[in-house]
Amino acid sequence: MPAHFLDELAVASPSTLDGVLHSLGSVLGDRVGFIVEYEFFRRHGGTHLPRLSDHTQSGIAHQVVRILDGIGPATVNHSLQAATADAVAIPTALGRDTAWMAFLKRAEMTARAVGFADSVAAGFAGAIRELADNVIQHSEAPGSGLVAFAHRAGAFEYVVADSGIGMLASLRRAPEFRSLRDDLEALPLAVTPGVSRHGRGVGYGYGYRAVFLPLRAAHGTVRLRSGQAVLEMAGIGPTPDQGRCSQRPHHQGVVVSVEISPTASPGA
Amino acid sequence: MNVCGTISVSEIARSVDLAGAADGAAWFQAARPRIDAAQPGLYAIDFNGVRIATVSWLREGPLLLCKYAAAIQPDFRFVATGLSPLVREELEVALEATGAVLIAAEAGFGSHSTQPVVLGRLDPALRDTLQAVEGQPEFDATFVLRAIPGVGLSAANNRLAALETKGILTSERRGRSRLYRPLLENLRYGYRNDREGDRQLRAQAAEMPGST
Repeated sequence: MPAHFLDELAVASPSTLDGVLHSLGSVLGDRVGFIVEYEFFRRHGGTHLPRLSDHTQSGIAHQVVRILDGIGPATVNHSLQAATADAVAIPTALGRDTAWMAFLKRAEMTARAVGFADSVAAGFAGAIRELADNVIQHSEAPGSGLVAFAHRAGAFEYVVADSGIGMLASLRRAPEFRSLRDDLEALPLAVTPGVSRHGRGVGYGYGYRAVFLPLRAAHGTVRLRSGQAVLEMAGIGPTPDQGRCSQRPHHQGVVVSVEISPTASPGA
Repeated sequence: MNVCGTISVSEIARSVDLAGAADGAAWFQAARPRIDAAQPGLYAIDFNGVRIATVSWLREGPLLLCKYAAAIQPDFRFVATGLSPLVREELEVALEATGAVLIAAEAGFGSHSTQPVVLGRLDPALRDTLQAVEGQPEFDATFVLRAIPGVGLSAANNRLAALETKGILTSERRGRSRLYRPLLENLRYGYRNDREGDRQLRAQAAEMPGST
C-alpha cells in the first residue's frame, strides 16, 4: 500500500471512501504507520473521513482509535513479552512510568522476535523514547502523543505521533530559522544533526540520530509527516541526507513512522 | 592520579538502555548528590553494561554532571570507563556537539596496560600540543616550545593551562616553573572520524537472518 494512498483518501468522495476502506479493512491489519497517520489526519482537518475502526476488525486500529478518543485501557499492561501490535498514549512525564517502560520493553522484545539483534532492538526502543521526548519537549501539545508498534511478516514497524505545533513552527522558535518559508524547507532541516528549535550547532538536535542509528543494519523506510510536507527516506541503512520531500495536504503535528526488515540484502 | 570513586551509570539509571533528554536530566539529578558529598579528585563514570546511550541522554546526564562538578571545584576530574563501541560513538558525538572533551579508559586504568584516550574534538593548537607531549610522564612549557616549531613560551604556557582546564592534564609548581602531567599515564588523543559503531552494526547485520 503506497504511503501517498492517505492523500488520495483525503480528496475522495464519502461514498468512494466507504467502499475503499471497507475493502481495505482486512489489508490494513497491523500497519500501524498508516493507521496512526490516518487517524491523526482524520481528526485534525480530515473530519469528513470515516473512522478506520468502522471498517476493519484490526485490533490495533481499534486500540489506536480508543486511545485518541481518550478511552484508556481497562487494565494497565505490564507484560514484558513480545506482541503482535500495541499502542499507548505517551505519558506527559516519562520518568519511571512503569506502564511506559513495559511498553518499551514489549517493543524491544517484538523487534527481537522479528529477528533483530539485541542491541538493534534496544536501539529501536531508544529511538521511540527519543521521539516521545521530542513530543513532550517540542510539540507544545504533550498530551496528544501516541506510540504504536507492530510485527508483520518479517518486518518491525513503529510510529510516534502528536498533534502539536509541527516541525516548521518549532524550528521557527530559533531566531536563525525564523525565515523558514514552509514545511518543505523545515522537514529536511529538522532531521539534520545539530539542528533544533535552539538553533544550529549549540549541542541540541540529535534526537533523530537515535532513529537512524539502528537502521544502519537494516532495510527500511522512515517517513516524517508534518504540516504540508512528507519526508521519506528508504533503502538499506537510510540516512537523513537521502530524504525526498514532497507536498501533501495539511497535517497537524508530526508523525514519524519507521518500517524495518532485518536484512542487509539489497533485493529483500 | 588515583581514582577516588566510581559513579555507576546503570546503577543510578536503574537501566542499561538510556535515551531521551528527560531521562538524562533525571539521571543528573540522581547523581548530583554524590558529587555534592564527594571530595575533589579523579572519578570513574562507569558505563559497564550500558547497551545504548543516546546523545541527548548523555548531554543532559553525565556530561552535565562533569560540567556541574567543574563549576563547583575545578579539581574534580572524570574518566569514562566500560564503554561499548556503540556507547563510545554516541559519547563522541555528544562531546563534539557540546564542545567538551572526556577521557575514556578501560577498567583498571592507572596501570601501564591501559590506553586512555581523550574523546571529543580539540582545536588544532591544543591537539598539536597534546600530541607533542604524548608518552611524556611530565613536561613544562619549554618542552612544548621545543617540540612545536613556531610556538612561543607564552603560547605554550597558555596551551598547557587550557589542557589542564579541560581536565586532560594536571600540574604543580616546582621552583619557578610549572610542571604538567597527563591525568593518566599513556594518555593519547583519540578523536577520530571512523566510527567503531558502524563496523559493529554492519557485523551484526551480516549475522542476521536473510542477510547476504
